[in-house]
Amino acid sequence: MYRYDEFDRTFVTERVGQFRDQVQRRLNGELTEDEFKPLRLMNGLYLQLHAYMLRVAIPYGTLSSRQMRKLAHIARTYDKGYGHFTTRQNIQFNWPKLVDTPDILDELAAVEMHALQTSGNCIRNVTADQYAGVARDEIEDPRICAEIIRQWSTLHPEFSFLPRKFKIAVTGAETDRAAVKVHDIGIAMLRNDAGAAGFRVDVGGGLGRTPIVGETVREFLPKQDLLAYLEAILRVYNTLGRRDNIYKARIKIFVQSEGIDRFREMVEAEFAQLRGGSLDLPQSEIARIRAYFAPPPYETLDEQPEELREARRADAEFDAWVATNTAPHKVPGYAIVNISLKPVGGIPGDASAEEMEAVADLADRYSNGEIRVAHE
Amino acid sequence: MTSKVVTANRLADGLVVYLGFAGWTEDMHLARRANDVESQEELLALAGKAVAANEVADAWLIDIDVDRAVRRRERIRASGPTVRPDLGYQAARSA
Repeated sequence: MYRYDEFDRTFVTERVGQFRDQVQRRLNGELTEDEFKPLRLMNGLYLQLHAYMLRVAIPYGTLSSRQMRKLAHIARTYDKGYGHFTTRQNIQFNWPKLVDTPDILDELAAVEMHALQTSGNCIRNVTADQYAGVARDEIEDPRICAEIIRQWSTLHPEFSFLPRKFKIAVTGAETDRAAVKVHDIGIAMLRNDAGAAGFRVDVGGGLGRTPIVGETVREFLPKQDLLAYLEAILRVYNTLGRRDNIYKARIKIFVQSEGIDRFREMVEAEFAQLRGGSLDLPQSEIARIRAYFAPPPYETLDEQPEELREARRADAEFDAWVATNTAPHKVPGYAIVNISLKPVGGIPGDASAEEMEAVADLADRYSNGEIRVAHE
Repeated sequence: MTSKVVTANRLADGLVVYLGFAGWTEDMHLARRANDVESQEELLALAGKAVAANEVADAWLIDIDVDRAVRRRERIRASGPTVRPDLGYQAARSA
């Protein structure tokens, strides 16, 4: 299962200590609100209409039961007993007190979680297909590519103050569950005619007040060129994207204004300078990251066990539930079970601390302690 | 002339507050009102001191029509989240 590495552990711990000091300096007046605002945003803390809001990243939507119980504990101890799972694989706490946020970040760090790059005009947390690693229609696990992008983009000195926020999504499957066409950059794994795995790169998609479907800037990108190509796109956008109007500052507006062909020319020219340099991805590095996503020990099971067939025949409601709430798993005899967070009349994505703990219990019992968070 | 009150978000917890006669209050109906420019400036000066003293993150004047804010945004700030009425101020006041 996904883990963050030794660098992340040290870095996150140090960042929490720095933020604790910054909060204290804000509370005792050494920092004004204008001085403090960019610091709190770098740690995922907004001041919204009714209260502070803390947005916590859930990398690639992957949560362990231990992490889910920690989120429940935070919801109960520091918030109003619930959290909101977002469409981009985050959880938001809507009522934290400023004075408590360093303690909350400490609690999160204890289970390898953080709120870095969940706000501000930087490369936000990379999202991936929620079925990554278990989808039957998968070419490769997209989380390996997404984790490489995360490590490259975290604290990237050139891209920490972009014209606007920047969102990247990755899918490794034929079915696009990661919604790559509505991201600033969408990456879809595919194979070329020679059978080699690579990426299609889309750019300039987005939702919000100006919804736009992204356009393909590269039909096939070899794996080793991933970071060089992303750096080329970001460099063109960072240099030429608008900064004078917040509503015109996303890359989708820039791509529309230039046209995809002109935009591609600029990116390819930059890419030609970067390709083959220090951003080249060696196989050994890809293998190292792949080890972070080692699968759990699966049993050898029947694809369609008789007990399941009998249970579906005997109970029409159970049969309907299986048809609606499960998806094919790549390992025979296993299934993906979806739990909806869309109650009738309720808010999609909200979950109480008790519901989080119930899901964690189910994961421990049936799913090797693993949970995924999705927008669907 | 429309009455005005001063609102802010409290620094320590971010909650919506109004400048009352005895400090900051979460209830807009207890806010101190200003009906002319001079008293509005007086309220803002008091609020400015609270900002400088790190009691609130920021402070500004809003228009009040009889007993509620004129702007929809401020009415929502005063009453709590429209999607979770069980969590906002209206829940606390009806408890």
